Amino acid sequence: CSTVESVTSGLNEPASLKGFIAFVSPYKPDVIQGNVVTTEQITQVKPGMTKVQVKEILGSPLITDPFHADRWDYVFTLKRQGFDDQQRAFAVVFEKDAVLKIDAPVLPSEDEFVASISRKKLPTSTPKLELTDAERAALPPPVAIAAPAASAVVLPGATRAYPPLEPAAP
Amino acid sequence: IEPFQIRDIRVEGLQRTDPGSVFSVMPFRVGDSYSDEKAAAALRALFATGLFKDVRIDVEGDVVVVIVDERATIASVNFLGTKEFDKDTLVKALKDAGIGEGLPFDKAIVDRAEQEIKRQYLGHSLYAAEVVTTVTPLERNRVNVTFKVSEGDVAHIRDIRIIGAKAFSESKLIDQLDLTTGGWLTWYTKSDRYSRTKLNADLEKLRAFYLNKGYLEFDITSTQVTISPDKQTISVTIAVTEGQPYVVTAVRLEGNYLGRDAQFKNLITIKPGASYHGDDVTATTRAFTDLFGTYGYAFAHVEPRTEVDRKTGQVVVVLVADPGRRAYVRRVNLSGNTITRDEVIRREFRQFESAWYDGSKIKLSRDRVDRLGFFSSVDVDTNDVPGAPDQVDLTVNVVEKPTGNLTLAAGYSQADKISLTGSIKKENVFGSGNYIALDVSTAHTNKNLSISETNPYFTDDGISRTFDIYYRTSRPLNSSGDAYAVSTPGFDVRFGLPYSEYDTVFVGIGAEQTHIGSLQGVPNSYFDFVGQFGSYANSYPITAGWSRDERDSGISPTAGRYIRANTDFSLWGDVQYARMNGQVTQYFDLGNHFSLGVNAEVGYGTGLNGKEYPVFKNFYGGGLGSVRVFEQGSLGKGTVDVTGAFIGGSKKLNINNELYIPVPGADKDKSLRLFAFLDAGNVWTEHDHMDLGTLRASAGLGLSWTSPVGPFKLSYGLPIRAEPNDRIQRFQFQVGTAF
Amino acid sequence: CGTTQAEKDAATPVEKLYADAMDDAEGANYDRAIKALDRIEGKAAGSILAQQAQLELAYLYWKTADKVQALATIDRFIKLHPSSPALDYALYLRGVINFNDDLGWLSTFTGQNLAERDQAAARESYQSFKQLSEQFPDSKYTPDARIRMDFTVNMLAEYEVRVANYYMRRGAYVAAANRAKESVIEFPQTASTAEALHVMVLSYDKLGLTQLRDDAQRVLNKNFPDSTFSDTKPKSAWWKFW
Repeated sequence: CSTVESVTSGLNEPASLKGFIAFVSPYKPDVIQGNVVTTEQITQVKPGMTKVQVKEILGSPLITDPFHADRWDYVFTLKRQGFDDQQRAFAVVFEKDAVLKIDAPVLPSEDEFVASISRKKLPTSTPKLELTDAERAALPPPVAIAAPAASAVVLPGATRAYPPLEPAAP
Repeated sequence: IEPFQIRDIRVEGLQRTDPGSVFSVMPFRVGDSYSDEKAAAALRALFATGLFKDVRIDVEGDVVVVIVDERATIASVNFLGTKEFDKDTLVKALKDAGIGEGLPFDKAIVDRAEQEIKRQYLGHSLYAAEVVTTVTPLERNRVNVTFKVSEGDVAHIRDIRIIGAKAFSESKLIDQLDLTTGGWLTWYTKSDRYSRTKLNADLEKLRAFYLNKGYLEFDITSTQVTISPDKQTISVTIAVTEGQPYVVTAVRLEGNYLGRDAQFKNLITIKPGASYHGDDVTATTRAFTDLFGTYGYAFAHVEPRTEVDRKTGQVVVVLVADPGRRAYVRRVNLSGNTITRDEVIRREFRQFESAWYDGSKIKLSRDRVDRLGFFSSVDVDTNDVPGAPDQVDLTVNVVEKPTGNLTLAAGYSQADKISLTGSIKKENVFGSGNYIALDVSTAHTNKNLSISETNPYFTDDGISRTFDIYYRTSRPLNSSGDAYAVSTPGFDVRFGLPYSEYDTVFVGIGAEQTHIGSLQGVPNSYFDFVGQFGSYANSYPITAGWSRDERDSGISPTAGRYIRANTDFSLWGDVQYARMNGQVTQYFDLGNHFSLGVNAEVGYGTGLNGKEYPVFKNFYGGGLGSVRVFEQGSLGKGTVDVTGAFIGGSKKLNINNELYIPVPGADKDKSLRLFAFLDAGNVWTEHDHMDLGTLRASAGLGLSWTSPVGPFKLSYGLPIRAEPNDRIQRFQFQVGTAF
Repeated sequence: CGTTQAEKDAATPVEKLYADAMDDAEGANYDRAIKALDRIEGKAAGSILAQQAQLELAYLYWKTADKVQALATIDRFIKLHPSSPALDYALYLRGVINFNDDLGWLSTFTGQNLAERDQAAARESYQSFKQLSEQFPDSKYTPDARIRMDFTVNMLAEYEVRVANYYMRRGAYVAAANRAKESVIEFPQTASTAEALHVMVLSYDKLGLTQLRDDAQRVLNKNFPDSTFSDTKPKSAWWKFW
């Protein structure tokens, strides 16, 4: 909607123009498509591997073109409001069920990929997760507990000694 | 027998089955060669049809003779003495299990059915139930099957004991259980009837209770359930060893956290220094798995491990995470939408096809489809994809319900004589997801014709557009009986812009003209109006609003909140005013089918630049949807025109509380709701301020149900705070027909 | 003592009961006819008359739009009498029950299109007709079954392409390509195959898979030389408010 454009252009360059536009423009749900493949996975695929092995490492390909039986395409696209679009694709070509060649572009590592799509920056402050030794010593000693009584077969306190309805559960 | 060529095949022993079904199953025909394997295959095939008790194959020369002993056919199945279960459902269930009229009689299936019926009775705590099956042969190899049942009385739990608990009193522990020893509600909850599944659920509740108090080593040593010889009273005894309470001293992360440990740490709700809480640990692990889900790891596994130091009573909680593999959704299939278009459902889905599986998106999408209000039930199943272990297909099963309603209300009032008000509303018109409403009211004093159409997906991303076109004429009779006409044609268009999954911002513009016909005999409120605005008053209202809808269902929400605030104001033209109204509805799920809905609405309007607030923009109070027990639109001092017509006021406030009570059968039909209500509210004119002292209040019982015939609302109540001349209607109802 | 309706039914011979049921059915008194036929199916179990009653019963359930009961009855008939001479009619009726083609008298005017509705029933109906035309090629129901099969196949193919177009508009190109592929492979020679190939070309192009795009375009041009597919699908007319 036109009003939004005029507002942002008037402002001096806000820290992340993209972020601001995303804030005011209506909500667009994410559009995420295709297989996520990272460097850790792609480096394990060697020529000569069978289709089953490739599927085990890279996952089942979401694009298997009907007119190219021996070619699997691993494509990934991401459109998320306030983030840069991502689009990557590579193909694994087979010859009689053995990997012939892979022409893969540089793929992000697992952590890089996750970082690139997470909304919040890595938080600096984290909650206190460990008591210091002093605090630990200050904790009250546990209340003394009697040794658990041997569980008698006929339980004390059962008011009626009737035949059990079912075998007593362990 | 060495193979030979078959000259003929003869079948003996057939009484009622038609020979065709024997021949069609046999693996050989006249003229084929005959061999032992084929004979064995034929035997197996014939038995597989389930029609025969016994089958033998003989050979006479080169003629194959098939001797069959036909199973009797069941002529009728009935039950005697069943009270707990209704007879027809039993007969139908048996017919599906293979015992029904016209089906072959098979002793084994009947015996199994008898066991199954007895097991059903045990499940309902009828331990004295006896089931006797009698098979009475009839002529032409038919049988009648009758199940004679003596149900006996229900066995009730008379006492529950929990032994070995020191940290907490026995009664407090028993309160945690569902099983009870009978109380005033057990006629409905039947919680004093024992069943193994209920006991297991209770043991889990007990374990969770202790875990939540820090008793890590709590254990249920044994349970004993005994029944009296007359099978009427049951006593349950549970023996426990509590162990000692533990204090959490540290929380550590282990395993693969995708390099975002800090983000995960911020989700931890376990507080070192406090005692161990089972709920906090489960809440934290769920938060972890949800976060993994947003990165595509739908089946991440987060395992809490406790390192216990018995001497010091301290424990370190270690959360071990394994993201596992990414899973993908290949296809999203829909079923059950015989009227609704595929796109109307698919556009609500945030989980796309050929995309990674995101559990929270799927849950959100299910809620969005449910919130459309077109379906009585919406659920999503996942089924595996053959040959692709990391892919699943989703199937969205919907059950459509009639979404239109035609409400016709005829009324007779001294001022209006016979008045017909009707409105036809149809959501999901022709399955397109659009909403169309036509409001017509032909009361003598005011006629109103308005058409409104909403397209929720004017753009693919969900910007909605709503058109309203209306023509209102009001001809209030003044005291001396002369008629004059006030007519207001107008239209407006509104756009809804989504700003998140739950928030929508509305902007809109409209144009409206108010024309006062002949002037003589105009009552004073209108006379001032013409004096101020002239006989042709134009106004161009601009609307701006915001709504956040987080309710879990469109038809009968039990949780979530709904907030709406909108303003419309006309800054230029003859009529200048500002009109604000806001609404907040919050639902609380109180557990075991009770839920509470609290709704507050406020409306405030004022004229601008010294002009008076236009009378037809007034708010009305009273009646269903506002303060019940008071007549529709009658609330407020000074809101009744001299002619007796209700003209409302410029300020309004109403608060409604509804406590939804579980009704048998409500789980089958979600739209059936019985509730106790407490309403309060009032309407004030422009001159007096909103004095809370003058609030009217009422309380009573209400019922709302979108029956197959149509929406049905009813309320009966008493006024609590009312003035003598208020118009009270203890019983109010509204009915419409669905189409 | 008065005899209840059930006892009266039990006494009268089955043939008379059947004749009364048929009169009720003619007189459009379907519920009474259904109850009578239900009785006959039980009493005369195993005889040819029971088979006939079962078929009539399934037909009447379908006529009174009780689809679940109709399917249950016809399935029971097919299981109990696999070799009955009327099996071709049974399969045909089963296909018609699932066919669900009428969307009310308004549908022609409102352009409600079956290709946007529940596909599970359509696939079920397709299977029944397919079994009928294969098992009884020369049955008198087969010609009509074949027409309905073509209609269903075209509709199923169009359904896939409609969904593909939807995902195209939302920018989900992998989903669009796969839905279009589904239409091309599972329903090769239908009216929407050309459009399906076109969607594949567009989505491969958007995904930057040039080689796949060119090959798909080649297949499109070879099989449908005269298809003139413009890039964007025309948005529906402005006045169409549904």
